[in-house]
Amino acid sequence: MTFNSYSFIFIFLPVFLSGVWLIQCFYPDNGFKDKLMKMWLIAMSAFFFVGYGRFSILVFSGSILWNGLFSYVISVTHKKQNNSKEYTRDKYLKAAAIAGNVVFLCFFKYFGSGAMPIAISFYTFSQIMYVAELGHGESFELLDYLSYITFFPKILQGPIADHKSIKEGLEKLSQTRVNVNDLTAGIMLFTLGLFKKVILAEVLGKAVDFGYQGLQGLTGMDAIILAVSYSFQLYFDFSGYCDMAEGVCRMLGMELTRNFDAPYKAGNIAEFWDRWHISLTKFFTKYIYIPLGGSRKGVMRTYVNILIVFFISGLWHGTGVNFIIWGMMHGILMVITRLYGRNVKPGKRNGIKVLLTFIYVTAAWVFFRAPGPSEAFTVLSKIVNPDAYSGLRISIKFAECYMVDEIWYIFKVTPIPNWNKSSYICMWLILLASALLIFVGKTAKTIAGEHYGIIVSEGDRDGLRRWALTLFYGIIFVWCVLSLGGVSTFLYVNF
Amino acid sequence: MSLKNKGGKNFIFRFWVVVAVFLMLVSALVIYVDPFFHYHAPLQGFPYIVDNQLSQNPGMATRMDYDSCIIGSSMTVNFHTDDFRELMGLNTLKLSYSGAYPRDDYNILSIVFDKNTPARQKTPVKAVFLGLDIPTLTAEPDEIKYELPMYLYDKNPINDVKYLWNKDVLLEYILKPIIQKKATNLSEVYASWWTEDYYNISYVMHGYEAPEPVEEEMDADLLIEKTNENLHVNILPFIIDNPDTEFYIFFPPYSILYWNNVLTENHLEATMNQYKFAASELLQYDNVHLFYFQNMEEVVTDLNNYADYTHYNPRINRYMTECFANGTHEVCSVEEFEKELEKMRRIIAEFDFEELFSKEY
Repeated sequence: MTFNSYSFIFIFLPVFLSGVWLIQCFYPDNGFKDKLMKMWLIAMSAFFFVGYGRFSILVFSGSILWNGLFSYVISVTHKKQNNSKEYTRDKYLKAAAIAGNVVFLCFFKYFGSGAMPIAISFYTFSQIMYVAELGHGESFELLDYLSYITFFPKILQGPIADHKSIKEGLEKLSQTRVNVNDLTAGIMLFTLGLFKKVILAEVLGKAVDFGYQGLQGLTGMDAIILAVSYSFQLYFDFSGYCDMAEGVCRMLGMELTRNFDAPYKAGNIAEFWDRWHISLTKFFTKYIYIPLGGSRKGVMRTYVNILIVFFISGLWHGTGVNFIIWGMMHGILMVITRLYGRNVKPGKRNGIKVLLTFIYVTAAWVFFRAPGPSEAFTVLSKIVNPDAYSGLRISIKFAECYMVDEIWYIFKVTPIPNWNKSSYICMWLILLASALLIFVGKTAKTIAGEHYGIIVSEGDRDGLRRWALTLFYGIIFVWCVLSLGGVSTFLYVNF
Repeated sequence: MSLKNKGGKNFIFRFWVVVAVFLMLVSALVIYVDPFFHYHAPLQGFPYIVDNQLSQNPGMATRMDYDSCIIGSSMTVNFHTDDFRELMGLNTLKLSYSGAYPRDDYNILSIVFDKNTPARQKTPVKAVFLGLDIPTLTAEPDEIKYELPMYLYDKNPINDVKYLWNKDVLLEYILKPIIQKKATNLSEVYASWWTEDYYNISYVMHGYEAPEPVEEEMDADLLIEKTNENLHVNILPFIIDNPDTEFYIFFPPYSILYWNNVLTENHLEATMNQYKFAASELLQYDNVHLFYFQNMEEVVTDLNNYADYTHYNPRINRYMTECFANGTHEVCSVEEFEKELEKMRRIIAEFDFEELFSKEY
């Protein structure tokens, strides 16, 4: 099941929230209430996951069994731990459990035949995090562990949240009640995320798919637009998912770890990684970069460590040379940035630096999307080769991919459809609107926060605005629901 | 309750009212026009666009007024149902699926012969025209070419939301026809996009890629088991259960290049055996009229009749319709069919493939 499906929106989510509410309201406040809430979460998360097929369920179950057993043994060892011998045993057990996870992930990613088990990269990292953190004031509790690992808002694409933050949120859940204010804020954020995914990412995705199917026929301008469109698509796809996940948690009154924060507004690559897939960056920093020595072992070693981290990041994101090139491009720029220092002060944005960072990230995404290195080099060579431009021409077939029905019918009441440039107008409109949302617009969380403020405000003069906002969210939501039929899966879900 | 809560409550209530009203309006419109004929027969005067085999065939088979139908792959899309009316006096409906496997034929025939549909309660099925692509008879009996929109095939009303709340249905099949005011001509529905200019040897040869040669000859009986399974699971039950329906089953006239593939892949004997087996199974039933068009020498050896190695000019469809009406190329016994296969073997043996491939196109 995905967030952008009829079954999630109209069946799963209402049933899930009703169950939470019923437990909160009608179950007596005793020691079992928290357990019952966790059981409900686990059951619903299992139901959420079950649609991905027997293979994915089997692999996920195997991962749970492996880590659950190790965690239990580590926990038992920990309780008895009074001397250094047992402390060493504890360390070895953790190392074995983590090594198992790494082997498990590598096996399915690089040696498995056929399809990858869904979400394996995300839950494996969560497992590693859980096992590594065990003992730091934590003990193994089965329900606690299962509710953390299976928690459906984060299972498919993260964030790779630490156990403590999820645990606190879930424990609070049985002590409070779902309330209308949280529901309001959650619905707003979820709707904005849904819009990004099913409207914006989908339109751009169609053009990107078309472009990559016929690379040889692309002009230089087509290649630029193709690369930029993929950058935008990935942005809306991933941020849409993050907003929806945060929206669901907000409905419960929980805060989900921040995973996405307007990354294309970054003024350098280091800032980009502070904003894109934040939880992954933190994971790599904590579990790879720092154990490698971080920046404590000299300048050269720091650079090597950075390159190792991005090499592994490339491997984590996908199989094949393309992902390694993508990772190394980020790693190399990160080293260069480090060499010359970060010159962007928080709150002070430099448009040129933002643009240059975006261009570089976009060029790297070409490797991320292209089926192989040769295809990626074809796109990039067309961008840099002046002969490919033929007077800045954009192929009409490519431009037509941006001709979405909604805009087309608006055009129908104007003379534009009779003009042979109408596809181009549509294309530029979509690209411009996307660019404005990405570079100038506020984040969905900020927008939803502001709108929420108006909705709950006490002033009578806000009455009209409250109605307008309700209508706005209602229409956007219906538009998204009507668009669910032909929508693809999330791009990040296959990692 | 605090004002703070009131604001949130109002938002949630109004939000769902807005959503419910819009979704109800959209649902009502889709149910009223029903462009996939899921709920009722077509409205009089609405210019329906019919271009989606997977989504519209089940509704058409269930609700439209017809007494015969065309079933099969892209080999059947260029038939004109008007020709069937003119030549055979039949009110025919085209229910083709491009690339259809036997299971696809089974799925649509199940609807065609469902006695509870409005279509069957009005008229019995007098005739079925079925194009049988022998290569597809080696597919798994439950294999389908494309994933079906099951919400249009099953009887579950809950999943109908995928039809009722669907932007494409709303914009492409309701709003667009209203603006365009040009209904699809059901006689020509699903016709291929190739215009007359595409039917020439040059276009065919440019697009043709011969398969990799296979050295070892295929076992002559290898294809029989799956063919038998497919016929008995997906085709014959309809013939047996509906003795009053005449089944016009035909082997479409693929070009000589198809036979080049068969030779290159080294399974001529196995394929010939497969044809013979299928024919012998089908000819056991009195309500089957079997047509073998593949040995129309002047047609299959002239690539100007084709747009690729199998797809023939719509003129051939007209000719085949005439044959259905007057019995030309009909085969009535296994012995006759063997003679037809012999003729086919001669055509293949005498054709100069070397000359065909030596020319520049």
